[in-house]
Amino acid sequence: MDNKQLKERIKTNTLSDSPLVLIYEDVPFICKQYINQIAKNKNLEKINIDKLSDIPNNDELFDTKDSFLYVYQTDKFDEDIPEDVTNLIVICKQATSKNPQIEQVKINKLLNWQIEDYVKARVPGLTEPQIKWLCEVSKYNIYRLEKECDKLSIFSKDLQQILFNQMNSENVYCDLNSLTIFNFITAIVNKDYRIMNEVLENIRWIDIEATGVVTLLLKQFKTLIDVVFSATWNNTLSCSEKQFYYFKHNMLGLYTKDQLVEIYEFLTSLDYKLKSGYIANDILIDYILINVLKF
Amino acid sequence: MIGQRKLLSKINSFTIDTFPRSSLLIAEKGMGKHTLVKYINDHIIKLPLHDITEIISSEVIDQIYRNPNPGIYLINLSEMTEKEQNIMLKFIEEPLNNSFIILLAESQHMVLETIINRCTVFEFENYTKDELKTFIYNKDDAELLLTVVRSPGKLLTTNTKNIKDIIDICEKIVSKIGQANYANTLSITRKINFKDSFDKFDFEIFMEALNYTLFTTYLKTDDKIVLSMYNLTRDQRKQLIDKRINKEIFFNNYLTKLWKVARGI
Repeated sequence: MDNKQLKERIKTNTLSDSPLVLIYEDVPFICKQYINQIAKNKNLEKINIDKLSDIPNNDELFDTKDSFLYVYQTDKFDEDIPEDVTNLIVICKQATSKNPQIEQVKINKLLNWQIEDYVKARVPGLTEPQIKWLCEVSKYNIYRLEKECDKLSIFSKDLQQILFNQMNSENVYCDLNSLTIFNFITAIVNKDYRIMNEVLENIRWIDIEATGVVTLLLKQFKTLIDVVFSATWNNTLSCSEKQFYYFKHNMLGLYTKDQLVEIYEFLTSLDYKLKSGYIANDILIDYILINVLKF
Repeated sequence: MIGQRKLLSKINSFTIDTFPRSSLLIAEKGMGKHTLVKYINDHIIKLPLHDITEIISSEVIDQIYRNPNPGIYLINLSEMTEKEQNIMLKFIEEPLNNSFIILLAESQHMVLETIINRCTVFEFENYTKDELKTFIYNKDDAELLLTVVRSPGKLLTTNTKNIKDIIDICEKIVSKIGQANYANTLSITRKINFKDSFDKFDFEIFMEALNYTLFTTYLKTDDKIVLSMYNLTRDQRKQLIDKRINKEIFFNNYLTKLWKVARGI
C-alpha cells in the first residue's frame, strides 16, 4: 500500500483491523494525523504503548481489546508482531521485513507547499503572504505551526486576520525564530551574508550580547589561526583533532594568514576600547561586522 | 615602614588638627599605600578605618551624611570608572566633621582632575635596592629580581622564584619572535598566570622582565627593530594600569603587535 491508497482507505473508512506500520521520513506528524482519523473513523480509543507486549491477550478477563487502537512508536522497528494482534499501528523511522504479512506504508516528507496548505486549511482567515511569513518565521516546523494554528483556529475567519495582526504587532511571533548567537558567529566566520542579514533583521528578538559576540569570535578565530598556521594537529592547539581537520578541509581559503592576524589584532583590541570608553557597547556589533568583513 | 623617608617626614609634620580632610596617595601596586594609611591612623588620626571602595554609591554617601561617624573613609580609585569618581566629588569637597577621606590611586592619569584639585596629594618615592632587598627571602637571585621588580608588595606576594626562567623565555622571545610562527607566538599566553594558575609566570613580572630584556638587548645590539619592540612594550604597559581590562586578551593583542613589529610589518 502506498501513501495515496492509505489516504483513500482512511477517507472511505475501508482500512482493515490488521496491524499497520507507518514509516516516516522527517517527523511523525502526518502519521499521528492519520492515526487520529483512523481512531475517529473506527470509534476506537487511542492508546500509546511502550512495548508490544503491553497489548493484552484476547482471553484476558474483561476483554476490552477491541475497543482500543494501540499506537507503538519507535525509531527502528524490527520486532515480531503476534499473529492475533489487531488494531495496532507502529510508527517508526526504519522497519525491517520481519513481518512480511504486515502492511508497511512510507509516509513522504512534508514539502513546504504542503505545510503552507495545511496552515491555510487550519486558519483560512490569513492571506497567502501572511501564511508564507508565518511558515518561514517558524522555519516550516510543523509542530510550531500547529500550535500557532491551534491558537488562531478557535476564532472565526474574520477574527483570525485581526488577531494575527494584533499578535504580530505585540511580537508574539518573535520567539518562533530559531536563530542564536552561534548562528551569527558561524555566519560571520564563514562570511554567510544571508544568515547575517537574517540575524540583524531579527536582532531585537535574539539573545545576542555584543560582549558575547566578541568572546565567541575570539575563540573561533584563534582556532582558525591554529589551523591555518599549523601543518598537523598537536595537543597544544586550542582545538580538538576532529575540529582541526574539519577546519582544515572546510575553512581554508576563506582568509589569508595576514587577514587572520589583522582580524585577531582587531578583536583583541576591543576589550580595552570598550572598557576605556573609546567605543560604546550599543554600536559594538556594527563596529565588529564592518571591521571583520572588510577583509 | 621601610623607606619613604621624605614622605614620612612630611606626614609626621601633621597633627590630627592639621591633617588634610581629603588626601590622595599615589603609588604603583605593591608600593605600600595601605601600609601608609595604617601608619597615618596609628600615629596621627587614631580613628576607626572604613574601606568603602566596594560599596561606594550616591545612596551610601547620603547614608554616611545622615549618620555621621568619626573615622577615616578609605576609597581605592584604581578600579573606579569616571562616573563612579564623579559621585564622590561632593563627598570630598564637604567632608564630615571629625572625618577624613583618603583616596588611593596607582597613577595620577586615572584620577579625575576635579578630584586631584580637591585633595592634598602624597606621592611615593622609588625604593632603593637596599630597601627592597630586605623583602627578598632568596638572596641568590636578588640582583636579577631587582632588575625587574621594584615594589615590596610584588616581592612579598608573587611567585618570584622562577625569575631566571622568566628572563630566559624573555630572551628567547626577543631573539626568535621575528622568525616564529604566529600561532606559536600566541601560545606564549599559556605560560602566563592571569588568574589563579600560580605555577605559571606572574603576568606583571613577565611584562617587566620583557621590557627589561628588550632595553638591555637594544643597548647591546643597537637594533632598530628591538627599539621599536621596546617602545611598543613601554606604551602597552601603560594600559595595564587600568584594572578593568582583561589581561589575557590584552596580552594576545600585545603579542600580535610585537610579532608584527619583529617581522617589520
